[in-house]
Amino acid sequence: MNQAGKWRAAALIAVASLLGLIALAWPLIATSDSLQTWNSLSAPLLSAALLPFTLGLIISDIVSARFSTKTLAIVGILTAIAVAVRPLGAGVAGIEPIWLIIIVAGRVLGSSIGFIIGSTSIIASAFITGGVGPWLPYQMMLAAWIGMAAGWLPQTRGKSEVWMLAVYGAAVSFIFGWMMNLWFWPTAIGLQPSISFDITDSVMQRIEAWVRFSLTTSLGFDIPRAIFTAALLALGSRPFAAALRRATRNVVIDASSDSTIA
Amino acid sequence: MTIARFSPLPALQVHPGAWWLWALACAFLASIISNAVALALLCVSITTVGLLRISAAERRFNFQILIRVAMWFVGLRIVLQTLLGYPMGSHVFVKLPTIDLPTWLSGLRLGGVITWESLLNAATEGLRMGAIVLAFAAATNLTSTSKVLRNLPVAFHEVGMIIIIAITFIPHLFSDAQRLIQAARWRGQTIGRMRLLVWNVVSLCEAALDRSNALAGSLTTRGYGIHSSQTKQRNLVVAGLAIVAASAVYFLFTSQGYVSIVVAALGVACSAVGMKQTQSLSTRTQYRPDVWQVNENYFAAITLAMTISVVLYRDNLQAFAFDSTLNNLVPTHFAVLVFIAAAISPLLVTIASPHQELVRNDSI
Amino acid sequence: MIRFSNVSLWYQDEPVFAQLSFDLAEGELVVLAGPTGSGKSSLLQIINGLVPEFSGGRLAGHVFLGGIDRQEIDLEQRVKLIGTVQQSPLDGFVADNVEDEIAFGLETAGMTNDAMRQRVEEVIDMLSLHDIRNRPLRTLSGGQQQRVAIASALALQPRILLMDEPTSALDPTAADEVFSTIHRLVHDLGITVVVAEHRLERVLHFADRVLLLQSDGKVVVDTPERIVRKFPTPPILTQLADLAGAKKSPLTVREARKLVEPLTHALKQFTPTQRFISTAHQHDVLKVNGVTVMRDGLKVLRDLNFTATTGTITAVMGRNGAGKSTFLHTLMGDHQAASGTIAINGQDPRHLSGRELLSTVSIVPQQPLDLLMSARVSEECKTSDALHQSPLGTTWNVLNEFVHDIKPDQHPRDLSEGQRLALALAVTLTGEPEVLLLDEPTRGLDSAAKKHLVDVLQSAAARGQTIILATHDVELAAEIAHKVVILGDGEIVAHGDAAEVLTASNMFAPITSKVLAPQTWLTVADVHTALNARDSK
Repeated sequence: MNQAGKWRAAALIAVASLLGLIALAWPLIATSDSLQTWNSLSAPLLSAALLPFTLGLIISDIVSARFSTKTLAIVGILTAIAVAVRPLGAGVAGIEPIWLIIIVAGRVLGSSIGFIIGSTSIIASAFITGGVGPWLPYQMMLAAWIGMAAGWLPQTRGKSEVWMLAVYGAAVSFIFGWMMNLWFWPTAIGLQPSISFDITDSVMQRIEAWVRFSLTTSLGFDIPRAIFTAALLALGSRPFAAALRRATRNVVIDASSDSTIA
Repeated sequence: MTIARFSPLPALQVHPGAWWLWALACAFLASIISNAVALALLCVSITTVGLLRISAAERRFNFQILIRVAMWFVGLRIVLQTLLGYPMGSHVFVKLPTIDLPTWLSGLRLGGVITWESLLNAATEGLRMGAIVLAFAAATNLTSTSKVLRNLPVAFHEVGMIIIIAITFIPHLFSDAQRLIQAARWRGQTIGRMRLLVWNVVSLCEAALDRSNALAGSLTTRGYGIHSSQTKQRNLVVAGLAIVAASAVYFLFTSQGYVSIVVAALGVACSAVGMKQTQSLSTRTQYRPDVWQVNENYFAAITLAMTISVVLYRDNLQAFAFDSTLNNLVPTHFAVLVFIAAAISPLLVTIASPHQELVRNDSI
Repeated sequence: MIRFSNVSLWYQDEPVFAQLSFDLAEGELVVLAGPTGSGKSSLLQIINGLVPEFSGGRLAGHVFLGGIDRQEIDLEQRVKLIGTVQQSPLDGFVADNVEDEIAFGLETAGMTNDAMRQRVEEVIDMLSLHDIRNRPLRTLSGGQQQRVAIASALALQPRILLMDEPTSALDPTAADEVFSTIHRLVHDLGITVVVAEHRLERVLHFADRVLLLQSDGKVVVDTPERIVRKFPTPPILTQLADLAGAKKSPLTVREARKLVEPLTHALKQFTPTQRFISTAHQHDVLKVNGVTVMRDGLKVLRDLNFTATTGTITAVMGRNGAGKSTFLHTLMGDHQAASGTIAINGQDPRHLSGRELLSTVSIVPQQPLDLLMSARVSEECKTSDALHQSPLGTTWNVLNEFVHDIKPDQHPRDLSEGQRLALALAVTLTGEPEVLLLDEPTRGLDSAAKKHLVDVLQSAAARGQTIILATHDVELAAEIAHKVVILGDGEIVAHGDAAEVLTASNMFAPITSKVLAPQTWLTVADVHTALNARDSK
């Protein structure tokens, strides 16, 4: 494996992730002194607007520097699949089949591809359904992380792999719900002080308020979603992973080296 | 010098950048205004433009769904306020019975006194989100995706390619899916629906991935994927982004706002230079590039006008706030009218795209 | 233009071919022939560089293009030198409309806008794409798509054009159109064209030379007239010429008619034997009565009346879009008939499902893989046994009657076209359906696999199964069909005994009947039988 290329890709992903973290988690991590100026400069809006472009740039960079056309085609087609299965979940009590594709893709094809497919499938589906909205940057970033971290899971096969992916799916879909509360929460001014975002609070107080806000407003959605995601992964991850492994067994993912996917 | 003759263009033929500029200006405007009536007017303006200029049936459908999403945001915000709100002002609307939640939720209380002020505040917040949702929804559905992607700088080329591949591939998936569902009956399948769904998705993926070979072959034999040698320039772009990120972190932890802004500006400049260099070094060309002409200049002008006046009249626009008397609800400042007029004015320079129009690249 | 010098190729240490040496001159139309698995695609990919850079494999020897070693030609130049058209154009499209697809390679090459406009216009004219230049690619017919693929390859003005089975998904008319286009290009532009093709009858008369890959890994290059003798199964025209005792190998029907005059004369005293004689045991198992099917507000099938008797084979023919597949799907009960009735053994297939459906009517779809539901052949067979409630191992045994080279651990997608068809056939035949439907079964099959299919179908018919197959393959219909139905625009335009219908038609007449017209012989085998009978007398 081309080490320099690998490190460079990791660095690119780190830069994008740092920006993503700021855009998402600023209400929790900033000191209360800085929040006043932060808000008055429209920084929440700007950082969110910057995020999709950053992701687009670093994905293009990784693809152009390292990927063969085969990998590009596979990434494009997996994105299509993720987009196509997304509506299957709509209306069915929070089943998110898109996670099946993103998680298994990250797991089988590695963390950089997981990262890429995570964000491309969200943006492509937004374009197709016309649903480009203020939530998009956050969804792109979180989906990218979910795909990436799936690539870091320990190497096991068989039943334990299925279990691991199901548990992972439940955990990330839960975390996804809570993190997605973060973009909406700071705008919900005027709620009771114990659950609302207040720039004069300390970091700890803000975190507590966010936890309480999530517990009261979104727990009822988060839990069923986690259960369904786990069930879907338990049922689908093994055949899907097998299909993906079969289809990519001879594919040279990294064009700058001659290693193949194990 | 001759002046280009001006005539309204079909919406899909307008440079997508123009529509997006307009949408961003509307979103920016929404994020600044704190007056419910002004925001509602803005929402109506954007919706009008969208409904009158989006012609393809499926795109109209998408847009109508997003109108519902925008309304849902307003509703959600009001429901949240009703259940978990904190009364502001003094004009009581209704007094609901209260339910105290357990102490581990720090004495949160459901219900209680609902005031007109807090409802109005919730509606304002909801409308603001709604206006942003509508602006983006209108821009997405008023432009063709592939046209948008083609007009991005070269540094975004590969991600655009992935999205184009995905979007052009989806119809294949649907026809494959139809065949598989049919075939399941042919085999006399009796397995459960969930397992059938999973199996179908897996078969779909297998069929799709088998096709990736043909696609990749076709890309390669037409010269695609000869690797870029612009690593240096691209490094510059990323370095710029890293500087922006670092300055934001510094900002958030130290409250040294103005130092960070200068540094962040440097970072942005650095990225911009990198992107410019990538652009000029790129050997890729574009077939029949979209042109920026009179109509697009008009879009640019209204966007600029909106942005500048928002910044100038920022304070007047926040006048409403939480006035305890609720007297200043209707915005009287002339700036508001200007904004609304600007937001709706694309109607003057465009017409709805004809129905059967099969202009190059407008199918997606 | 293209010279191979001792070229060998291995995939995962298995040799594909060894020590190939040949030389193809500039401006020739070369047909690359050989059975499935002989490495036709690999050979094309060696020329365009996909092997070994892209597809892997180990390559030895030298390939010279225009006198220069391939390895010394850089990628950019290679792209401009060689254009490639793939088997299924829709899978290789990277844009969504015709013009952008054509311009894609030019954009990558960095051509200026003016030059690009000119090139695109040129190839649009060259391939008569003007009427469809703005259309989304997926709305085009197969033939149009293939023309767009050729246009995109030609836009880069290559000196060499490689085509991998460009007509495998087309009906005979569309295929002919594509080949005439290629023929014209060779003559107008002087480019060198290499076409891999297994349906040689379509293309042989256009070819300047034929490159035959033999199953032993050897290669022969010669003129079409001479090389036909080296084919495992010579083309029908050659077989007829041989029967007539002619020394030459004709390439067109016109040439053949002259050469076989003695044969025509000799055959005058015979009448072709009747292929199917009905017996008292037979009954009409399938009755279609005045069926009309609507889709998207259009009548795709109009007022069809049709019956099929047990043990008969019926071929349903017609151009792409004439309603062949819809007809089969309607017989499977997938479409609600707007009017009319369908009865298979008195039952409406729409009301059947599961085991009942399987024992009444089954279909092998155009893409046999659609039917297969497991990741392994052995599992597939087990599932099939369970679905048919047959003893374990039944399907596997049926499968082994057809083919012997499938391993139980293989993934159905890793099988060859012929093996997939065999597996799908085994899966459906295990249920012993009264009526068996096949949609384009010979697509992608080489002559050996085709022969196999014919045997399987004939023995199924002999057991009393009723077979209906939709096909473009005139020769297949001529060989096995008892009855022929020709569909046009959703209506039955001809229906009757195979011999009558096929020989009366221009488009669907088999080669033998074209050569021996006005006599009504369908296949060489029929002629052979008649001659043998004469000789034994």
